[in-house]
Amino acid sequence: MKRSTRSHNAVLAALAGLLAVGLASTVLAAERSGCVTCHLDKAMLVKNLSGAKARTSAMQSGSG
Amino acid sequence: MAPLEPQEKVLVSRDFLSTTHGEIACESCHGGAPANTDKASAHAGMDPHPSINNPQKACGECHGEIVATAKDSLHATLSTFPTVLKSRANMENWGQIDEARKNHCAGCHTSCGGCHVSRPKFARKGFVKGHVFQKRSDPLNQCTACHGSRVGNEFYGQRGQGDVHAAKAGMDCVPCHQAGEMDAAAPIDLKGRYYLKEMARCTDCHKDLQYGSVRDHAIHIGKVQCQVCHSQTYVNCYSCHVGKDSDGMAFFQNRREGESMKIGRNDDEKAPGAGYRYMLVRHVPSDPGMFDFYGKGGFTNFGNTPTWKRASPHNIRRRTWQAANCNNCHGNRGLFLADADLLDYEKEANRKVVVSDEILPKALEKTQKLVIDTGKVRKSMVVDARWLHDNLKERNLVVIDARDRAAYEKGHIEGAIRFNPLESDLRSGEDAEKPFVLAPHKKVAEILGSKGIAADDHIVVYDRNGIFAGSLLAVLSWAGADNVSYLNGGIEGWHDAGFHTSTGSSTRKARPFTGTVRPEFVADSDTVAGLLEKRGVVVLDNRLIDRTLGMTKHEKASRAGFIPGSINVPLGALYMENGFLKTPAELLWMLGTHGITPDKTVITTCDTGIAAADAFFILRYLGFPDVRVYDEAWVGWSRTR
Repeated sequence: MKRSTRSHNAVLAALAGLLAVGLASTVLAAERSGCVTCHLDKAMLVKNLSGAKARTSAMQSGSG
Repeated sequence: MAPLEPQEKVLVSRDFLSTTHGEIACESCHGGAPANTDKASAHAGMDPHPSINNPQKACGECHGEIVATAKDSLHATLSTFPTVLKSRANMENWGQIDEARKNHCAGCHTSCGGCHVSRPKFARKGFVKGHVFQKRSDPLNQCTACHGSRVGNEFYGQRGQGDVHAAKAGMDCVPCHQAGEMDAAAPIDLKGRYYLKEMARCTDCHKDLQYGSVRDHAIHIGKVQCQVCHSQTYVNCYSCHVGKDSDGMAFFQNRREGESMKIGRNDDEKAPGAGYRYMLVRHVPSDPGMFDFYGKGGFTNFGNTPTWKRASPHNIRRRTWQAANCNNCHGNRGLFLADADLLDYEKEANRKVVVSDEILPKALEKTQKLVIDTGKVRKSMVVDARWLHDNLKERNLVVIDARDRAAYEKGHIEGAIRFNPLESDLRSGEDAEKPFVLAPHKKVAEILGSKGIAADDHIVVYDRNGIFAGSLLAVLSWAGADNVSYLNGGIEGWHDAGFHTSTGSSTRKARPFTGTVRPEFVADSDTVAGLLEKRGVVVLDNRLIDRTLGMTKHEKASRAGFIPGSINVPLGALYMENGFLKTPAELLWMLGTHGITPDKTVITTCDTGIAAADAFFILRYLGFPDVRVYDEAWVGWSRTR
């Protein structure tokens, strides 16, 4: 009985460990994405997007 | 809604990273190659609009039940557009019509992201809160970013008084248009948006009014749509045309807009919740040649569907001018859609909607008259195009065009000098200690004199919609000019009267202005603060409703808000969209419903003193004896009080 409880605890600990690793990797998912390297950096975006123009026809008129 | 700079559109907030959606890797929704360090390859295969292009993958894993219907919602599919187009189309040409629809009409659709993350694609995109997902849509950055020209402008008072739901209850779009409606699937052949069973209706909240204490509800419910009595005038669009420019970019052009109100016959009483005979109708921007770019003769059955369609203006008021008295509506031919309102090609389409003379509700004899004293109106302060045309050669007449240079050069009234009050030093600069306040009288007189304006001239000012003209007229009055007039309808009124314009520049020889200042026309902050508690004094705030609700603020104001006790009537309530003033009787009645009556001292205010000056001029025209402009306005008040 004692032995089975110990092995049960070991399994639970392993599962908890796996869950913690999984959670950590998920929680940080957006932060770890390469996308945010630029998209959190206003100065870099200004540099990269200077000269970007909205693509709208000059003949457009009115609004919704 | 000011456009966002390119970098603002895609700048992610650090706050996003600690939200639930921030727990998901960017590339899970957007794809791309985030491991790459150069811009082009990192964005290869990236989808900026995953909720439009693949809502099931982007949102459906967690929000499956919502996406299941929302991907087919009216916002996502505009499914009623094909219904209407098919009703008018020569189906042999459907391919061309559908191509035009996809290139132009379908560009307005949106999906989950356009309501919960970014400004919609039609509004040129951009994160609303740094990619932080919002459960509740932002009324200014999202809903009215698309539904702006009509709904947004009407709701927040750009045009008219604004909507009572916003003004009195602080409501935005969501309390009426909840998720159940927004996310509802719209069947492909849905006859019209009013057929969506989840569509918001007045009676969702205002139940069983016919059994209440309001006599007119008991009389009119079942006969007229709620909006017939409770809306203000609204904008109608005419004749949209589409095509592609020389770069192959799709465009649309609306030929004309006009503010009015028309009551039509209900041609579809079987529509859900539409069991009434009369309804408000709005002209939709269509004509038989609208898709000619894609193929002529597409709409051979144009007469099948009305061009004046059931309208639900978002400018509801409990009390309105057309319902102020029985005979403001009954017998008022101009208020009801007539055959004369229709162009030849749309007569058949609107045959069932027109209210003929035979069925026009007759004027009532046994009704209490609406008595409005217009005897004090200073009529000479507003002139019409005919009067100005006939008096242009008068020796002491000075005509001022208050528009910008481009508009002036495109065409102005012959002999008019250009004088835009915002481009002069009549007021202090935005970075001054007291921004936007009137310059000292001596300086104002010098500026006016340099333009060749003298205080004893008859000065007529016009612009496009009244705002700059009215504010300049107020400055002229304060500076000592006694004979000043607004050209009713501005340049559009001039054109509508059939008069020509000139492109040649006009100037006047400088001369002394010699006016005597009227200091009693302007109030400073101390004066306003001292008068706030006084009986018989009202502060009239002419800003938009979103300002008074604190949703937005002027960039120079230190905070959002309003002067305690002030009454909000947006400036747009005084003018029609085309620069024509509403009639003195209507204006006096409408102001009276807000407790603003000529027996009171009225202090006008806004953000910068411009709109307040305009309102000052109009109240003076209406005969109010004691009107003052609070020149420092909210920008000044917010910094010091």
